[in-house]
Parts: sequence; C-alpha cells; structure tokens
Amino acid sequence: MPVSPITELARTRETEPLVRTGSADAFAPPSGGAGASEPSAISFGDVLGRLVETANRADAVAGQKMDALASGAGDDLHGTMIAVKEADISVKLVASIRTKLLDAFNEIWKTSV
Amino acid sequence: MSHKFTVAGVFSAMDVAASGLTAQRGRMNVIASNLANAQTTKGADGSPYKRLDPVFASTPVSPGSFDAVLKNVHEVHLQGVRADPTPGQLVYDPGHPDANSAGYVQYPNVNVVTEMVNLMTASRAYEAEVSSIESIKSMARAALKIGQ
Amino acid sequence: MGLLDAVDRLHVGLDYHLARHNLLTSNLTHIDTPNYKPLDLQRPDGTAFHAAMQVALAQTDPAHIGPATSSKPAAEATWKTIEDPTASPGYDGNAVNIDRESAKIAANQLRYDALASLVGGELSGLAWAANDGRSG
Repeated sequence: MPVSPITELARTRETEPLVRTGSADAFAPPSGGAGASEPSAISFGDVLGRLVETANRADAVAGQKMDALASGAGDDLHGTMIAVKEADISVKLVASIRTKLLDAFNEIWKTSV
Repeated sequence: MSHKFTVAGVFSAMDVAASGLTAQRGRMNVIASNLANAQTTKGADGSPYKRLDPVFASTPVSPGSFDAVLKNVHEVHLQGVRADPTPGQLVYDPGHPDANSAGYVQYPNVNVVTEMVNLMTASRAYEAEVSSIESIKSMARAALKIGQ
Repeated sequence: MGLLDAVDRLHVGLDYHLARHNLLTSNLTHIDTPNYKPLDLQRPDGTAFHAAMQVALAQTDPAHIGPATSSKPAAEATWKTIEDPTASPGYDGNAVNIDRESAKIAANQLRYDALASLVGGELSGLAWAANDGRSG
C-alpha cells in the first residue's frame, strides 16, 4: 500500500489556529496575576518549524519515489509526480513565509527609533 | 518481460494489452490456415484437413502480488490449437482422385463464412487492444504533466 | 548526501533506458532474421544500479559535484545484455514478437520521459534555491 504523500500537506492544513480556542485574545494580559505565565498564542517559530518538518518529510518521500522510478523498481508514475510536486511546493511555502517574516521584521526594525 | 509489477499501473496494463495483440494475431494465423485449406481433401497424413480452433490460456501478470487488483490481472497467450472433430461435407464425385470406394469425396469441415466472421472479430479485437495501448500512453503522458 | 545526488541517480536511470531503447530497436529491425533471439538489458536491481552509478560518477567531468573517485573498474559495472527468456522461436528460429517489442519500447519511452521530466524539475528547483529563493 503506497504511502499517500497527500497526507503530508493535509497535515499542515490541520495545524492549530494561531490563537488557542478557549482564550479570548492572544494579546490580552494574563488575568488574575498569574505571574510568569506565557501568552497562549503559538509563535511564528512553531508554525515555521512545523512547516519545515513537513517540507523535510515530503522531500524524503519524493526522493524515495524518484529513486524507485529511476532504478526501474517502481511502476508508480503519477504517485511519483505528485510527491515531487508536493515537496517542491512545501519547500517554496517555507521560503515564502520566511521571506515575508524577514520583510516584516525589517520594516519594524526600520520604524523603531 | 516476466518481472513482477508493484502496482496495477501503466506498465502492467501495457504488458497485458501486448499479450492480447499477440494472441489475436495468432488467432488470425489459425483462421488464415483454415481459409487456405478449405478445399484440401488430402492433407499431409492422407486425411482431409480438419479446421483448427485456437486455445487460449491466461496467466497472472504478477503472481504472488498483494495488491488486491493486480493479483487479478491476467495476460493471455495462445496455448495451442485444437482440431475440430465434426465431419465435413461428403460430395459425390467419382472422378475425383480422392474419392472413396462409394465415389464420395470428404471435404474439410471449413465454413468460409464462419471463418470470415471470426477473422473480422479477431481484427476488431486487435484494433481495440491497439487503442487501449494508445490510451495507456496518453494517461502516462498526462501523469508526466503533473510534474511540470 | 550531496546536492546533486538525486540528479545523478536520475541521470544513470536515463542512461539505462536510452541503452535499452537501442537494444529493443535493434530487435525490431531483426524481425525477419532467421535464428535471431531478442535481446534485452537485465533489469536493474539495487546493487547493479549502485555499481553503474559509481562508474557514471567516476567518468564524468572532474569538476562534477559529488563523490570524488570510484574504485570499480568500468567493465564490471555496465548493464548486462541478456536474451529475452520469454521469447518463443518460430519455424525459422526467429523469436522476435512485434507486439511485445513495441509494447516494451513504448513502456521504456514512458519511463525515460518520466525521468527526464523529474531531472528538469529537480534542477530547476536547485536553480531556484541557488537564486536565494526569490525569483525563478
């Protein structure tokens, strides 16, 4: 039963929302004087890290399938093509988010006095 | 090649279709032999020609495969021919060199019309297999476009 | 794990299928030759493929990015030509089946096209990364 690479990308769609359900506002100050409690939002680093992990996994699957096709052992044409394209998109997604984050950071850095 | 396929994909389908082409060609050869010998009253063994029928057999494409579909995919091959035992026509012709003691000549049991119908069927089956191979190639080309 | 490992493996795969095409075409050419048995390349398994890759890398340009040298002599690691075991000879000894050979040629071409498409995709992905991931 071939591993479906579609599950790799689908998993990113199921990532938790940036604000955990149950907390009213990510940026609200912690109530009740909880002291050193962390904000309940997930950081960009987490999201990016998870995307990188997905991209790595998709790349590994694509590499395996390409080798199988190249060595004549594999017969799965469309599965290989889909896996390769998904890996490509995952990597480009990570890069695109990284670029946006960098641009946003640079903008903020320039506006601060 | 008799290697095992891993999935019921384009390559296994192509092997199956190719075996079908070979089988139909073999069938056409048998029919051609029947048509050519429709009047042969004395064959190599001295008796009139008996019309032949092709005998087909199927073998699985990937024996021992665990894939639910692939283990049911079979190739066909022409196992051999079978002589049709029904007797042919007896025609009264005492002057014929192969006439028996009563003056009757035993003709082969070949019905030209039946053979022509069989020939058209085999030819149609061959064309269908060729068109199946074209479809397989076109599907594979479409799959390659995914990667572009 | 080099940058161009996947490309090298695909390259070897392309070589295999092109060599096989030559052999299958020659089979079709000899469709009427008496006593001719159709030839084919041995299906590559893991070891044969790895060996061929070592040779391919050793023979390429020294500026090639990848493993430096190979200790395997070239004669040992080429594809083996075998006689097709499933071919049955006719009355003149010729065992070439036009349908089987045509189907093999078509399938081989599809595999070649798939690998060529993958190589193109892989190289353009690396080129995109080399351009710092901004413009393509």
